[in-house]
Amino acid sequence: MLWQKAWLETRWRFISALVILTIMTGGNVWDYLATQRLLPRLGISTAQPSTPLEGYIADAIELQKDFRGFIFFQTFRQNLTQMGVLFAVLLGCGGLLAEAKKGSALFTLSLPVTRRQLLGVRTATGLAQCFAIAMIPPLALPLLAPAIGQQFSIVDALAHGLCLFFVAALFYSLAAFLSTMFGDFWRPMLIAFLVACIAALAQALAPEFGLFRVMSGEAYFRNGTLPWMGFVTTAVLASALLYSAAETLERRDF
Amino acid sequence: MSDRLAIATADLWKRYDDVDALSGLNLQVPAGSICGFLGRNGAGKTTTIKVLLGMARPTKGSAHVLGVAADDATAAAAARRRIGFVSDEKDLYDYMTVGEIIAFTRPFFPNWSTELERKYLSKFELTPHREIKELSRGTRTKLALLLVLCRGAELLILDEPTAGLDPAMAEDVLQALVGHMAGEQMTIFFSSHQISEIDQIADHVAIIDRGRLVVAGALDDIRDRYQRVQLVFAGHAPQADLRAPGIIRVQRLGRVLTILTNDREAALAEARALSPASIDVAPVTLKEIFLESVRTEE
Amino acid sequence: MLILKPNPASGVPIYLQVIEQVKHAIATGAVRPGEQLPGIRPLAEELVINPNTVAKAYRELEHEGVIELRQGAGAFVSGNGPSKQDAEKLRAAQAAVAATVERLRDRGVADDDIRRLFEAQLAGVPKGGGRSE
Repeated sequence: MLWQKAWLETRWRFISALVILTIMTGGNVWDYLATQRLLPRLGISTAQPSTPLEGYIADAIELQKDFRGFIFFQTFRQNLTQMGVLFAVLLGCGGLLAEAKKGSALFTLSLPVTRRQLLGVRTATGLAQCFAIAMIPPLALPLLAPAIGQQFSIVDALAHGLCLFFVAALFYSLAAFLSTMFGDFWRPMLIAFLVACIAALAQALAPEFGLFRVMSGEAYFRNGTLPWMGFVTTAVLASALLYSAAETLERRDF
Repeated sequence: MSDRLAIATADLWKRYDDVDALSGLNLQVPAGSICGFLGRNGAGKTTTIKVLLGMARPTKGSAHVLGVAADDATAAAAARRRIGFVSDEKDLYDYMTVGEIIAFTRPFFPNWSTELERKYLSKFELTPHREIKELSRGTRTKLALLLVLCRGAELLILDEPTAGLDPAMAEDVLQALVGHMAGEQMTIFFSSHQISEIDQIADHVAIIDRGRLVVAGALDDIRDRYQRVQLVFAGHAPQADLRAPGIIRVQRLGRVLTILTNDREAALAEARALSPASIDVAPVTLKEIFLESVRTEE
Repeated sequence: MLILKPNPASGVPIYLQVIEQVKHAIATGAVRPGEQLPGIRPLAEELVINPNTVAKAYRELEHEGVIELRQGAGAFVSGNGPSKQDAEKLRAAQAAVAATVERLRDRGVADDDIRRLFEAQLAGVPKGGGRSE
């Protein structure tokens, strides 16, 4: 069935993503020990930052003084956000147009299924995969933290996972939409990464529109509230992109 | 053969950028027939097939397959449960094995016959564990055919099914196709460059040139209609301007006047009026009909 | 029952070739009155021709009384008289053709010319109208 096809076409990307992200997250747990040994030797004073850059460095050092803060800074704000976007885009590329370059699109299109069904199954599979790569790697934290004598709450891991998922899903949808416009693998990827860079820039200039703040779960980390507005916005944008993808695919000549 | 049309296009146009791939195509394929689709490269054969299967949208006009409009996405998808298609490149999922793609395709078709599957697996010498990317073109063609022949399709649309095959394999393919026909409901529409194949198994033919049909109909009728009339005169063949309807080409060489026509009686009537010493009528091969039909407009 | 594969390029419609082959098989006794002929689909598959063509040939043979088509059972060579008459007719015709061909050869007409003349004659040289239907 179509699910099987969607799986076969994306399984290596998915499995690599899951493995890499999980190992990376697990590795972060041990990084904490190294950081704890290193930080005091830097002798940086975190009081009275006079420039934004100093402020940033001060904030970073403060955060990393405890395990939870370190994980937020290293794992959620940097690693999983950056790699999460990368893998979400990677998963979103491909699809029917890419098949057309390889030739089997005509076979697929001759099956008794509509293009919407094809896209629908592929998207559902992809979003489920995004969910997995968002939720599972953080669970390495509560699992491994005790090994270095620390604790990480499962609820925290899941909450952050959810934050990762919504933005990952948005980038997945962007890549999927771009894949209905360009047949090759490269252009959708590059354009999606460009969009990510622009979003990062926008976040620096106008922190309220911080897409990656939603992704890193900053609000949750700082005051325990999930970024509901962020969830709604990303969900709406993702839906719009997927709808556009369906419409574009419908009109395409093969 | 029934009166129903398995395929019907009405004034079908398809434009790509500023080229008209199809310019007013009126194709009618009766249900229960085997229809050969002939045309030069670039005449519009593959475009026609793509429009019929909903892979490309008509610019103007309509296309109906098994009574369903080709551009009605939902209805056409349902109709495809009764249709089998093989593309000219015969590309399949090269990351799957023979067995995997059969297992993938089977559930889409409630009328799938596992008996036919076994028959063709052995007849076409296909081994389930082989990866599709390793298969030769001929083997891939046979696999593609197995996938359409087992599904109980009422209509097969095949784009050059024997291209690149050696004569023995090609004959196997033709044999599988005629073996598939089991009654009034089954139609085969196939394009081919091998005119001999069309002579062999088709009962209808459609010749497309520059995006429209130039010859179409039952093969027996066409063979009856197209004749070569050769007149030999005692002296030089006259320069008379022959105006009978259906005359396609007139050649004069010394005492011989040769007329190629698709209306024998009209041509003969005019020929007799010229009082030749002898009149010979000979049938015209499909190949000659094809060559004449696609050259005339130049 | 041996029916040779028809030649699609010969100019003779395939269904006529099949009719000819069946009649020949009956005339030579390869298949006898009352015996069954191959079914339409199996024969089409064996000869690799269109089943509609086989059906057309069988219908024509039935029309001429050479065979009988029995609902659900298949095609059978007609029981009596006609086949013997046909066989005799064919033998007489064969003799006439043989005589004509020999005569033409004696006159120095080449075999290719003889063939061409026969084909043209059959296609309907319009001395008295076209081919009889």
